[in-house]
Amino acid sequence: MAASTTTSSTPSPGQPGALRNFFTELRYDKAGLFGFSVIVLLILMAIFGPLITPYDPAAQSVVARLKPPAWLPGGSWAHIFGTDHLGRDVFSRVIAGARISLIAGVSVVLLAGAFGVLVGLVAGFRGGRTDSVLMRIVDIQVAFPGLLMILLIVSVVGPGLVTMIVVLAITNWMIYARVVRGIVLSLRQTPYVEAAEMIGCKPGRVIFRHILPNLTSPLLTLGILEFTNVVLAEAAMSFLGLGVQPPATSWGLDVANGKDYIFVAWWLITFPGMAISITVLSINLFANWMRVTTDPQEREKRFARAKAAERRRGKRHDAPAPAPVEA
Amino acid sequence: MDAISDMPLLEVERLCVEFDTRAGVVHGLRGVDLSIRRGETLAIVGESGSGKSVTAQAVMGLIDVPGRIVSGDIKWKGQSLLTGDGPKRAREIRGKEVSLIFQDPMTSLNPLLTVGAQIAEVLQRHLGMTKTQARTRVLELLEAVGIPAPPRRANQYPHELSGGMRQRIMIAMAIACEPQLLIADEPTTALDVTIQAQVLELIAGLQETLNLSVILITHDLGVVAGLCRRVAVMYAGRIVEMGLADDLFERPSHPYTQGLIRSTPRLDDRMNRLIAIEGSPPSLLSPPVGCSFRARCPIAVERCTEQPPLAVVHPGASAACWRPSVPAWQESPPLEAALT
Amino acid sequence: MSAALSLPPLADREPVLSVRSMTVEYEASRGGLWSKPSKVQALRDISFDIRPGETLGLVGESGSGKTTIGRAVLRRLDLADGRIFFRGRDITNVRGEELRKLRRHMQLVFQDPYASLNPRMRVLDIVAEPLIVYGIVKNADEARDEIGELMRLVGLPRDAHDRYPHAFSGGQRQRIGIARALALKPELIVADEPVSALDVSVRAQVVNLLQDLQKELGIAYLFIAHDLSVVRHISHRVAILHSGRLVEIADRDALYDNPQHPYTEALLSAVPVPDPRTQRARKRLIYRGDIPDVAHWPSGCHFHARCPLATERCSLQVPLLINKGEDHKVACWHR
Repeated sequence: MAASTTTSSTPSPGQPGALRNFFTELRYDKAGLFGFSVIVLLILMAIFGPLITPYDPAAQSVVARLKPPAWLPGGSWAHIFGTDHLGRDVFSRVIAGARISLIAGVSVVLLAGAFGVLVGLVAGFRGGRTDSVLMRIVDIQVAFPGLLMILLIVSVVGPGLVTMIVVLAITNWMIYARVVRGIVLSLRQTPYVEAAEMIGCKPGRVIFRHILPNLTSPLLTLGILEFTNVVLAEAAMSFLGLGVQPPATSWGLDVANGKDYIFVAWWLITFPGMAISITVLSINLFANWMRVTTDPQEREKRFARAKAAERRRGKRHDAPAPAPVEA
Repeated sequence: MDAISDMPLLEVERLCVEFDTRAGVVHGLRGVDLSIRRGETLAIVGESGSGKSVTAQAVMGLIDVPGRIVSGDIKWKGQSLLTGDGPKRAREIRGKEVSLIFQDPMTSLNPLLTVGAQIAEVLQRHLGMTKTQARTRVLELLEAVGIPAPPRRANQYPHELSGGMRQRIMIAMAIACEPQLLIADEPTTALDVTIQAQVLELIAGLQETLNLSVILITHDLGVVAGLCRRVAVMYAGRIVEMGLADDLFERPSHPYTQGLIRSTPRLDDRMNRLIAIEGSPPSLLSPPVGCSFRARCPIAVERCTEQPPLAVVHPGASAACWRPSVPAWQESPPLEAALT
Repeated sequence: MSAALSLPPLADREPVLSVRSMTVEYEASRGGLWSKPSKVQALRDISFDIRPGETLGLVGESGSGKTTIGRAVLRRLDLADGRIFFRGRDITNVRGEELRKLRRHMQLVFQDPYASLNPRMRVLDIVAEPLIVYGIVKNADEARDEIGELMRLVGLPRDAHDRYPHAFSGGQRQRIGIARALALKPELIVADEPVSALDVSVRAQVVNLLQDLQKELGIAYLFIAHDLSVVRHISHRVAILHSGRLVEIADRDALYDNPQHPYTEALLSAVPVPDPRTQRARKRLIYRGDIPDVAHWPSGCHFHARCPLATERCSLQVPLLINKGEDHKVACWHR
């Protein structure tokens, strides 16, 4: 029964019902829907940022320094979220910051993911000594303090967006390698992978046709969760001055800049901080929804729970619970 | 056999169980009637998806989301376990007066506790024994299920034991509280043939010495033949035939039972070909109207679109078939003869 | 396809597969980066032949090494000792591309009809994959006609092509697995418990299909099973495996009517007969004790701890598999 729904969980691009399926599934999970909406909003903000922002996020204005948000006394609707110590519009900066966060997140996940998946595939598929050596390298890298590595590289190369992306990729690829290796090892034992080898598939075909498709859904979930880590790491690095450099904006950088004014102008750190939290929360909610949706068994359970709850509600409205039929 | 009293121990009445799946509602049980008396052995035989295990789970109160009991009743010694304060009574009875053994003993044993400790826990919880009392009783039980060197085995962990040994441990746990009814759900399917024979013999022996009622759930007609007095054959969520084992094997009434017996490989026949029942069981998402076996049945007639009731065919045997006892699998079934 | 029908009688055919003194070892504990793995013997001194169009039933309980024999014959595992000949050619050390080419001629049918088909591939792609891999066709659609013929052969509906495995029942999935194995027209198929996961009524369908295919295509089968019931109906000869050693190998009727090894007797008596009266009347041989574990095999005959005939000699010396009658080999000191 559960198996009968597996194909719809892996919609191929050409499948016409795939998109509709996606939204039907999303309806079952309100939290997932919320997460998805916020993510769409963020992406739109990142793409069309310069068109939406009321001001140039870097434009300073000495006259309009430290203006509070619009709804506080002294605030004005010209600056909804107020202005910072240099008179820059906080609302515009929050919107502009989305772009850096998304660029950093996506590139780091792609870069680290590609490398990690490759290492994991090779280690899991070749096994033996190759596996042992590669996994020891992963262990060593995991044991090495990430922050130290970041400091080291940044101090040599100098801070900047590209440096930050590369550095974060270097400190984040290991988890992909471990996860992929684990899945590949267990997949190699499955009869259908053995069957593929038995009918004479070359290793490349076994990996790309029989093993890799099974990796997509766990990797997608992992990638999204890692994305949140990167957003946080970007914020932390920029906060420490190791990441994005002014005049570019970033939520982390704004929090850093606002920290000295925390008692005078709380809105300087609150709005970029909230942007970070909401982004991370939404992504997590969406990732959780996706994890359930790509697992046919979990999906089946979610459906059954929803159905059972519906029944209970229905019963309460009806007359007393129907007694079992007498023989 | 004289130990069988007239009072039914367990009665299952018109039990219907459904499962919610994304593909729709699966009708797992569609009106099952069963009863078993003290000291009686009943086998429930069926293929995968026939509802035999669901029946056992329902009796043990193990039906949970996505499944639910839609209608019908389960009675223990005449009192309902589903209505009124039944569910509370049911919790007291289960594990104590009714116990269950599963197909795979490894999944029902805790890998972190010694087997002795696990049996002792049952004794302490259900019978309120002290630790030392329980300890002595554990050794007695291990002895009773034929485990050599009980004191040593009691201190071992499940993974140190073979499959057959583990199943013996499960049986020891099941009989620890001296239950009146033992439900064995495919107890030997995961075991090797020579070990299977040992475990079946053990269950038969315990049944006799403890005057147990046993419900044996299996897909293997061969297992039934040696152990059970009565047999119920299930197909697509219903009982299609019920009767005394000797009778049922000798002159099966329902075409499905006939086919099942014929397709079971036998060592004592020299035929080169096995006889198959063509086709496969219907989907329980939308069970067919009328007799579920209709599509695979060689002697189906128009009337079979109506659900036949489980009716007495001859003393000690009933079948849900409009043309019972017609030899279904001969070269040319005598069609007219049975209709009159 | 009619070539198979013109074969000489079974006994005169040259074996398609010959196994001689095959020994297989396993790594009991996988060594770390530096340490050496410790080894355990899973199979010892196994020899048998399979002729074209013949079925050898291989029966053993769990841990006996029956699956290992199948995998070793197909060269999925390396031998510690012994030789394997396929169509007269020594394939014991064939590797790499050569091994891949060899696989065209020997195929495997799996036990689990659910796990052995990739759930993300259409039936057409699954069955056509062997043809694509060997460059016989470029893509699945090109093979449609050929696959259609295979589908007909294994009794699957034509519209099965574009569906996914989950849409099929266990028996139908096993047919898909058989069609995949047949696509390359192999001479030998190792069937590793192909029906034990199936329901009784469907089991017979699949066994009969295998028999029909053999008649039509002249394939040789190594049919692995865990009990003696189904084997009787499909095999020409039967080999009994106990704890990594063959204990008896004979023509089917000779083995069933006149079993020689006490373990064979136990296996035969353990198969329940679906008839209460016969079942009660039968003499059941229930031998106490467990099957020995691979890591701790006893010395001498592996069955001696459970054997009613065992004497001191049995626990010291390994009995050899020798001819006790016309082509009826037994490894026992007392028979």
